Amino acid sequence: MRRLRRPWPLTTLPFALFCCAMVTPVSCSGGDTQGQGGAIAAPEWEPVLELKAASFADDELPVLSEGEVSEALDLLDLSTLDSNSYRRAMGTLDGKGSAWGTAAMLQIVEGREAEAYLRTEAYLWLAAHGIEAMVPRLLLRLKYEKDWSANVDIAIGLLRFDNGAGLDSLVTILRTEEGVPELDQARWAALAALDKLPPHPGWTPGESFSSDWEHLVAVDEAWRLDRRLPGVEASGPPARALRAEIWKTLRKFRGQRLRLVDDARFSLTRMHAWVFEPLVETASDVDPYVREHALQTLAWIGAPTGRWAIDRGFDLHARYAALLSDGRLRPRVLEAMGASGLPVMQDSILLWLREGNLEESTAAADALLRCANAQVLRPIEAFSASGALLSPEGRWALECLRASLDSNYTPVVPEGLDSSEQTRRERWAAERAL
Amino acid sequence: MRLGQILGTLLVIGAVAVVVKVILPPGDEGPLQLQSSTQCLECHAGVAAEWESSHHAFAYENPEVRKLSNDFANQECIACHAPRPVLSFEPGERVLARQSQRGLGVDCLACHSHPDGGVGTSNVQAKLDAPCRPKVVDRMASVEHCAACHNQHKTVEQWRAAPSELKGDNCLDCHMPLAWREGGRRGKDHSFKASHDLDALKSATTMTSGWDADGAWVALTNDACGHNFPTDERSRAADLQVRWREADGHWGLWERVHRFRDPYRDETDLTNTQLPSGETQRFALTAPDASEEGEVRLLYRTNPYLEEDLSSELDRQPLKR
Repeated sequence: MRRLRRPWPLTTLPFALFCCAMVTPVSCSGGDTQGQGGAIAAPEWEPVLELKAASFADDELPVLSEGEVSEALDLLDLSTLDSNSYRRAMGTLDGKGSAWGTAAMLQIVEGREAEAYLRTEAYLWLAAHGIEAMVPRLLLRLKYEKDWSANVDIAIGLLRFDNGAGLDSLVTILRTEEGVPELDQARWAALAALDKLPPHPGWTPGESFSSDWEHLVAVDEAWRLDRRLPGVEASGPPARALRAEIWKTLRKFRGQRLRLVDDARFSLTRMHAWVFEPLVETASDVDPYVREHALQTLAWIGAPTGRWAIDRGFDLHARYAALLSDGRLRPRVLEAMGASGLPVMQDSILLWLREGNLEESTAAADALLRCANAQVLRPIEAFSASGALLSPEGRWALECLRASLDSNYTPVVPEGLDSSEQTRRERWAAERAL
Repeated sequence: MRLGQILGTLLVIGAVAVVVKVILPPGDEGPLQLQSSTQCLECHAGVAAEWESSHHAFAYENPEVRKLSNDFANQECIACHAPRPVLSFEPGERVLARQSQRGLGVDCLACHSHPDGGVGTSNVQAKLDAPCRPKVVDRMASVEHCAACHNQHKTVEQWRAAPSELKGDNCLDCHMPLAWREGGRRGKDHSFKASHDLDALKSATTMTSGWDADGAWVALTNDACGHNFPTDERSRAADLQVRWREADGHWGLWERVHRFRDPYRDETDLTNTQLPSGETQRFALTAPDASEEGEVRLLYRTNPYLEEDLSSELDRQPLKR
């Protein structure tokens, strides 16, 4: 290992010996690898998830017993016999209440036991009758459900509650040329689903495939950018039952296992923009993992969080800046700040580019690439010229940023940069234009 | 005071200071501030060479992982393939991804960097005044240290359920055996031999077979793994296969008798067929009427779609009617 050595001129041997023995070494700066944050008071963490769990416990979807799920399966089976049986089965399901029916159908499609035709019936029921509280769990089916026809039903069910996360499946089905058996079966269902798209002036559903297709692609794109459907105004806060399910989903962030946390992140990154505020709130939870995962989810959603904050007048910068005093959380906060795409974040981020440890300065450089405007050009030029320690990832982020802000600048790929990390930053640079 | 006296006095002071410094134990000098695992190479070249041959070193570059993670566009995979220091998290808790130097994979700092500075070690004989200021940290030898990543796919849970005679004290017993390095130095092998090492794989199970009055059969016993065989949800698969010599003397194609594997989460039509530690599974084989001879083999795949010629044959045995 290499240690910094002090000057050792022979002419001052006695002094040097003395100094060497008595002076505290300057090369060993102690164990704080968390950067400069130690002097700043940590934020007050709160048991956010615990409080919300208590507050919304009565509104969550019921968890049905095996017997109840079996009863729901029998009703679905009955509904497939003939029209009279169908009416009788649906009537019985109605009588049990929409929350019961929604919970039953979700448990059927989430389980492995039901036969394929009954799963299909369950998805159809959810698409037509499921209540708003199903949205987080229906979103998770997009991750696991391989049946393309079922994916169409999921998209329809989500569209009923202003969620466009299922549109991607419709685009895939309709874009793929005929001849892929599993997609061919779903094609007609996907075409029929297009009339569920939000209305748009000049667009008449079913008038021509090309206009339907253009509208589908435009709505899908708008959803990706804003996590809101174009032309659809939110009618108010979501139903209390949906909020209960969102908080229940957020509680999965406490898990040790990849699966629970990933499932939660999968659903939450595909939710309507309404979920951003609970996520920001969760970033102050007492559990450090919960804070990390909440911020990571916000970072993965990315620029829609910034656009939503502007539209709502929500001071996202203040909320994030308050979290920067936690050394362990700091790289994740910087990541979320940058991913928002808001230039207002850049001054706070610049500080950690200059003052942070290797993790923090890398996160800061990445964040600047994603949100900074031309005002940072001079400071990052000065930083790069200073020869300050920065990882290859961070150096490439700054190179990409400089090239984005100055068309005459030719970026140089630093040595030791992993190819996927190079690509990731090039993608972020390309996303700056959106 | 003459110049000579001054110089003499200073020389004495300096000499005393040096003696004091040598005699007294190290003061509160902080540890060398470690920013990168590349700093470890200078003193620990032998360990580093072992590590470089391991799949920990390969964790972020591995093409199989790249493919399965969509070139790490699936960011959740990064946490265990380029982790922040495990000691910064509670024992057994999952780790989180680091921002920098991801290409180094699961590097020295990932396992050893101590949140208070310096490094952690389970070596009670470590030189505590070394520049990296080692601290003996008991949990580094515990399964919890590995569980942060390796229980994501349930391996540590499987180990907990294993018979005591097979599981040893911890993961290190099997995966970090004693290693002798240059100069007669003794340590724990940092090449972490496991599913990518043919000898380790071959020693994990015992295959037996026969052809008796009830017909041909093959059995596999997990008699040397402290966890399921193969462990790991999703990727790993081990196939028992059989083939028969046809009447014209040609060998038929290999047919799968059984696949040992825990399926992907979205493979809802499959169930977990791994072989738990200490257990044996026996399978009856149906030979074609004309066959007098066959072969069974155990084939290990690091992912279930790996082609046969890229897979590892762990054992092959003849069958005679």
